[in-house]
Amino acid sequence: MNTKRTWNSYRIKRELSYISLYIPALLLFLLFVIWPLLQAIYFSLTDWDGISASYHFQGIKNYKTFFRDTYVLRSTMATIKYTITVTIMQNMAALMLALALNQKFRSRNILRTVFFMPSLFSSLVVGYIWSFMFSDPVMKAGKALGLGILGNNILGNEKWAIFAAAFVTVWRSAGWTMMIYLAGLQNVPQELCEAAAVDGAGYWKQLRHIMLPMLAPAFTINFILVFERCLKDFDSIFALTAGGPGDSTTTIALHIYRESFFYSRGSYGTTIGVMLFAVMVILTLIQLRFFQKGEAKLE
Amino acid sequence: MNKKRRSMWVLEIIMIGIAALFAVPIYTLVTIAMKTSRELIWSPLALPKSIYLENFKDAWELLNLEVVYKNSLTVTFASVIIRILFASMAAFTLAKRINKVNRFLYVLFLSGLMVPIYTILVPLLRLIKNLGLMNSHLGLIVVYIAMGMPFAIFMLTGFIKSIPDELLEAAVLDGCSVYRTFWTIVFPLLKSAITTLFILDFLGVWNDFLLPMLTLSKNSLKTVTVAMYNFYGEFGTRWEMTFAGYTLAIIPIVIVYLILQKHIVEGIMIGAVKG
Repeated sequence: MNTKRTWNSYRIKRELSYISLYIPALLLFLLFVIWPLLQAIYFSLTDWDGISASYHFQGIKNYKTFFRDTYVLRSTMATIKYTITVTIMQNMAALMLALALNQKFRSRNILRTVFFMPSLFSSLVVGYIWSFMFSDPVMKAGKALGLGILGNNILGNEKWAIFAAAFVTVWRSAGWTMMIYLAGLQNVPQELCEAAAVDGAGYWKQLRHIMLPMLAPAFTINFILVFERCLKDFDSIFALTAGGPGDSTTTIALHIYRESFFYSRGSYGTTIGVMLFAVMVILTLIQLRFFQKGEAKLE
Repeated sequence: MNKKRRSMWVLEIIMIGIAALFAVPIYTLVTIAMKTSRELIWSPLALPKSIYLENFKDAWELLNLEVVYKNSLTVTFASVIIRILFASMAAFTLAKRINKVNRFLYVLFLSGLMVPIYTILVPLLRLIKNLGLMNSHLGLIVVYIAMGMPFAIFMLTGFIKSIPDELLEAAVLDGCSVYRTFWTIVFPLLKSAITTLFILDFLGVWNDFLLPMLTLSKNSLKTVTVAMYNFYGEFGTRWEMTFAGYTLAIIPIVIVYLILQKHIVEGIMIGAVKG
């Protein structure tokens, strides 16, 4: 009887110890992530301006506005342009850099460092550096080469500024993506390439039939990582154009910021935020489906 | 073989050329920071005539960089270290004490990966205000700890799962308490995972801009990114001086990189697997 009780109290003590280990993490997470998330959903159903004490429940009015708002449409378009451009360009640039710097020549480690370095810098500072680059050296080079678009400051061009911002992001983060491709290339068995070479396959054939297929997982990961990061980018566009000229570079993230803190429409800004969250949930579900299928195939 | 060697040479030269072009903004940053304002107007891209360090001195003083560095270091170290500690504690239970509740909590934590900061920004700021944490480093630190928790827990739970159960069972038989098992057996085994996480989180928090911009308005509390933002707002057109400021802002990160180079590359791979 007595031993049973000690055994029980021992088990309860262990269980409580286990629980106590996640209490600090859980409390902070619930208080600063989950609670604001639930509040965000609630606020999106009110007319709160984000500052004053009083607000009124107004149902789904904000969501009705959301679907008819031309500013939302425009910022969605800007986000799509930016995200797609960066995702494609960054992956292409990174893949080519990785293939080239996977070759054995002396300076390759230094060159890897050079290309990687900017991805450590703050996007804000990178934005400021490039706002000078576009306003002076790039402009002079554009004039000298007779390139109309670059001859004036491209950041003042409503049509092209968003692509300039995309270019800056690619410059900053391509090295990061390159590292993931380089890691993928290390998994390509050297013997396979050598065997193919003996059989008379040149570099391009080896690339197409051996290396690229083996890079498929790295490609999927990079595609998703870059895509999701772009949807949430704020700092570098904020530094380069602050959303201008007009609102041609106002992406969703900048739009939420403007609505919430400039136009004092906290509840509406939050509504857009909730919709962005919905997009993230959908993307995650697609990813899960995708990965499960991939795993099924492997089995 | 000769042909192959020659094509390797050509490739190397091309890549060095591309790298040189790629590095032009970095070159511009550092050289402009060493020019007088007159020199900048006449020859922005040329090498500076002499190494002129006044800009760095001015920027250092105007930015109050000593304080700013200290602020950034405090916020970054405090939030990253506490986050990793809390996350590894939680991950231990979630990985090794599998039951319905813990499985649910794990999914709950992971769902945090989908929440963009912009969604919760307005309620979060209200919360910070209501808790009296506006204009305080503590406010930033607790938010960073919480926001980074999902990824940290995801990564560490994966690591702890790979620790063999027999090892922990042996500890239990020896009469080890849960806490001692965690501290003396599990935690030391997480060294490489923690190093990786530390670097990724360090970069993330050090470079974060939006939250400190919205919560810190006192000069004495500003972090590096906010200081750069204000510096640009105030002296934006004095490129030679702002560029000296940006260079100084970037240097700590470059130093961290040079010290931890190997781990950073490893960290990127592991970070990528999150996918």
